[in-house]
Amino acid sequence: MRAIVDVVEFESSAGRVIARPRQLRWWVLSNLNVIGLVLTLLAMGVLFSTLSPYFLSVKNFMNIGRAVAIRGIVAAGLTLVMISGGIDLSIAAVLAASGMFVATLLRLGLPGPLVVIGGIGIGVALGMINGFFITKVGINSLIATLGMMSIVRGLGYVISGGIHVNIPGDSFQELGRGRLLGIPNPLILWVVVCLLCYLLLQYTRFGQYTFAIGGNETACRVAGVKVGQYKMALYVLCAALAGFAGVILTSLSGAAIPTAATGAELDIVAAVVLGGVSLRGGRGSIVGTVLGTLVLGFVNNGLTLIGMRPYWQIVTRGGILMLAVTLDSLRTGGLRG
Amino acid sequence: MSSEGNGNGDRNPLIEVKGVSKAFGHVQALDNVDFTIYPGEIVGLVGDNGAGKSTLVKIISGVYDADAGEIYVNGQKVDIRDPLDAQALGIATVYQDLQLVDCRDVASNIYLGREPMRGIIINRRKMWQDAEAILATLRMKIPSVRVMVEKLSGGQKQAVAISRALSRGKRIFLMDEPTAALGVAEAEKVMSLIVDLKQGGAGIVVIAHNLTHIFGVADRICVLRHGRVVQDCMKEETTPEDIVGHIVGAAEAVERFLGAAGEA
Repeated sequence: MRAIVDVVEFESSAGRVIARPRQLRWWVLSNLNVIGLVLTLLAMGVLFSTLSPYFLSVKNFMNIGRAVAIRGIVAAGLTLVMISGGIDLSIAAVLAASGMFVATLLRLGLPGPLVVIGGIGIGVALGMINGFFITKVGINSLIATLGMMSIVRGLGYVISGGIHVNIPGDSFQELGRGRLLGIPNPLILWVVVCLLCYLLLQYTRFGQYTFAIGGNETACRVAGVKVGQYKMALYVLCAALAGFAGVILTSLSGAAIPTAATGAELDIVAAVVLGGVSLRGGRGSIVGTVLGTLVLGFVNNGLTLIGMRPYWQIVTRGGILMLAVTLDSLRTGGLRG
Repeated sequence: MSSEGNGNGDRNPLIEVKGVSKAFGHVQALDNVDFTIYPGEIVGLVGDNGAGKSTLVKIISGVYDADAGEIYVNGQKVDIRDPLDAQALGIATVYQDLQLVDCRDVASNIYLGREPMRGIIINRRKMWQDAEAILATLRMKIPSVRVMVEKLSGGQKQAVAISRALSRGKRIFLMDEPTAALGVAEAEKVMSLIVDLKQGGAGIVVIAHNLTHIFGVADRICVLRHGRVVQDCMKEETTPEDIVGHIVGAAEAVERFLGAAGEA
């Protein structure tokens, strides 16, 4: 086998400098996915703004941002889990359960900050259950979280009786409905969460092992990485972010709805995959996920603005996902003969 | 520097494995194996496929738990429960399947599990420089320590796996087929590196199918067959023919031959 790297060759023993691959070409090749997504966003921007005068406005972009922020927060957590080679299908159910829990706490008269912590806490607890079944019992993450999805969603109906719970007080609703410097709070929180996840992924051991576990779990074990602990932390973090998203959604909508975000797990998985996270793990980035989330947000917003009927929008979204994944598989290794 | 290899009688072993057994279901991979490594010594561990070589290496490196038996390091009884325990005892391993993360860069692979830190942040610059330095001792061409392992050739991957062992091993190196994916020139480099390690006082176990390589560097040769040690002697006391005889089961071969002759 021949080395297929196009980089500046050097003799290790000779040079003390760190060899740098040819900068520009290297950057382009290793960021093809991100470049593709940015171009897609630009193309959609041009298309939608010619078809609708409303698309290209600050107000509309704020709307898109607020619409995708909650899913975007969950997508950031799911990105970490999927880079590690797992998946979490319970995210949307956890989001809804957190909303129900938050509404209950508010009705008991607990103060806002404590309620937020409670919403994240219920996510942590549910994430630990996911992590337990995946790392200790050894159940495949797809199956374990599929089961949890059903259990948590069902319990939400049982507890609420299937009806939505209004939340008292305006101060709590400020979290989801308020603005800072004219920017909707959920959008700011999305950016903050993504930034933190980005730093975690790029600069810490936790991030390093998230990639490594997704790439080769056994190699991590024999190198002495405590794989079980890191995987547990990943599922806890993902569910905690889903719980946080549930807090924001409840605050934004003024009520906890047991059917909230039904089916959203698949949209979120779609955004993450669109963003370049490999289903086999080991690859992906927060930047990609943000762009993937935005692409789906643009599609939803743009298609509505140009007046496409909702049923056809669902079809179009699926088509875009298939197209993106096909292009990606062409890029990473070609179609199977 | 310790004295040259032979005549281990008066020296203390680095590692002593006593009566180790391991079964996988109904397959007895190791059956009451005694195995010793002395400082400044290269032991060639040979045997047919499935003889138990890799299992023995994985028990010493903490990947598998033994069903029975004891391990002593520097005369102290130790309990090696996981790879971290083995690393703490100065044991480093190159696995047959290399155990690399293909979608990560060379430096990340070499320092997997032991990344140099600056607070809670990985010190990548130091990691790159240290990885360069280790690869330099191997005198093998790697395009860059920041290139993904999946882009490397088989020999380069092997160099990365060996570098990882070098970066964390202190006195005991276990190398399972370290030259399997290498060309002639690269294999020579690895073999000379192993001799360097030995001269630095390390104890090294080399598993290889290539008996020429084994006879080139080993001081002692240990043959496993069906999970048992069937031969353990200094290189000077044996010949490649004798070793092959033990690997394939000389006694059984002779019996088969005689049986066949009787029928004819």
